[in-house]
Amino acid sequence: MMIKLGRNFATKNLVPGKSVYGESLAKRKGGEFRSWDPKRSKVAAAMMKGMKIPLKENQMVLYLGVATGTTASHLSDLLTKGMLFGVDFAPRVLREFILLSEVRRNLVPIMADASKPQKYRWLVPNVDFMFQDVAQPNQAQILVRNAKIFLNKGGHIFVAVKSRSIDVTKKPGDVFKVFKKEIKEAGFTILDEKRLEPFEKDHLALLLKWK
Amino acid sequence: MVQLVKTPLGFFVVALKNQVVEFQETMGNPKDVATNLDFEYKKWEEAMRAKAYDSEEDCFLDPMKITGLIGIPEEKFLQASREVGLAAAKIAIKEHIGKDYLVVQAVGALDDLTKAINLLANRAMEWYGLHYPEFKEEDMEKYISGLLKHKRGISMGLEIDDRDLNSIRDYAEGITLLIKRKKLIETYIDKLMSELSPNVKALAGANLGARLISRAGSLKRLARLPASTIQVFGAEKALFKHLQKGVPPPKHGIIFQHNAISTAPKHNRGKLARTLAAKLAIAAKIDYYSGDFRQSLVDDWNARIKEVKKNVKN
Ligand SMILES: C[S@@+](CC[C@H](N)C(=O)[O-])C[C@H]1O[C@@H](n2cnc3c(N)ncnc32)[C@H](O)[C@@H]1O
Repeated sequence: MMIKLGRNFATKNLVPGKSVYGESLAKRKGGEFRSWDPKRSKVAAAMMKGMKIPLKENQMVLYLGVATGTTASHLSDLLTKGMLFGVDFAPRVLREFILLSEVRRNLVPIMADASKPQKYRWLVPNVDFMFQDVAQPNQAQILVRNAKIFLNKGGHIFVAVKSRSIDVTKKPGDVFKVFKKEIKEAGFTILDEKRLEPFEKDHLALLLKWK
Repeated sequence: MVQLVKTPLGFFVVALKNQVVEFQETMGNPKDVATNLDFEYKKWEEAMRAKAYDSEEDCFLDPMKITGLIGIPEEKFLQASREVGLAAAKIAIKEHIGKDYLVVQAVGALDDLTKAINLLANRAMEWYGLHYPEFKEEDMEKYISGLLKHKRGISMGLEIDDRDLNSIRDYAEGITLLIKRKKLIETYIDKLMSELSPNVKALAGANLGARLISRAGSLKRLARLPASTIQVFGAEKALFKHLQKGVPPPKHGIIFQHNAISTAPKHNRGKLARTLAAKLAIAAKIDYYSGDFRQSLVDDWNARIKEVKKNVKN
């Protein structure tokens, strides 16, 4: 369940009493809610800019570049009957996400390189929703590979694109154009797109649908 | 045609049209399952090959669908996936974090031992030199072992009796223990490097590779450094001079110790050092982030050495 708490969105805390990354907690009708900081989470930033995320409580989710799980913790609040598989290849950040997964029953941590989905296919079923925030030059390629293997027909993808990680020398607008072209050619439909200013500089969030 | 499918609940052999030919349940708690999985998988692969199964390279079948084929409910799959996944992630983290700090300490210990051995061996040389000045050996370790083998003989040096000689020998024995320690640590570093940083080791050798990690502070930091920094590691003084006074930049730091570079003609060393540094930068990233061994890095590096050599001849 999600409500507005002041200007921010907030998700109903799956583990009442616990704040994950220092976000504020507030009791409202229906329980305790965690404020979703758009400066810390690109999904929250995109929602603040008007993007609607069609995530349902019983869905399977694959999250590439889950890091410490700041964003994933809110998705975990929403997925009361679902499961989120979070992939990251950096041990230092994944350590935090493991701790989070121990207290949240719908999270599965995976230490792996997202460009090698064969390494984690054995754990992950087909999913309805993918999130990707890896900040890598080859992130379009990584996205397509994973979608082909894991994403159900009609499934959705939220992807954050940071132009500086793809090409520092080009203008953000041009980098985004190339990225969108690549994505469309791979068979995705772009349902919505939002620049993330003022929360993040030179970032684009895309909501995609798979064939 | 059949496929071998690994799942957190067990191994499946699946034929076309999703027919389960074989199923072996994994046993034990999630930690045991996660620990043994890779090993079990290899065993299965071999068994399949022996039976002349035509198995596919990578399997991308949905593991939840496969477990569903034999009536396992989705909830049970998801629970197993979470528990085994958590255990596997913890194991992966344990394997990744910390070993590089062991390398850093071991390299430090090695250097301390080398210094101590040199210091003590120098004393032994002076001491024994009183009696036997004709005996010369550049390498300290060889000097010590030579000293211990010598019988007292005729020499232009000082006449000494058994008591004098035994004192010197006792002292030298102590040094040989340190030399043995040093060899053991070298072997230890070699093993650590194979596990922790196989790609860097393959390119630079265990000792030099360990030194690079030690210089950087950790494998993580080495993995984040650009090739240009790795190239001048250990030549910080020269680099500083270059930045301050505009003298030419150093071409190579400790990677100069690499056999292929130190034995190359002077004018080629810069070229080789640049290539090696670039390969090492990639190798450290692979070692830190994925841990797979990539033969092509070494092959490329060897090809480059050949190429540079050839250009010299022509
Ligand atoms: C910008 S952070 C993600 C922040 C996170 N999405 C959140 O909102 O809480 C990017 C993460 O992607 C990870 N990453 C980058 N490339 C990756 C790859 N090829 N495979 C797995 N993880 C990757 C990095 O380790 C880093 O933790």
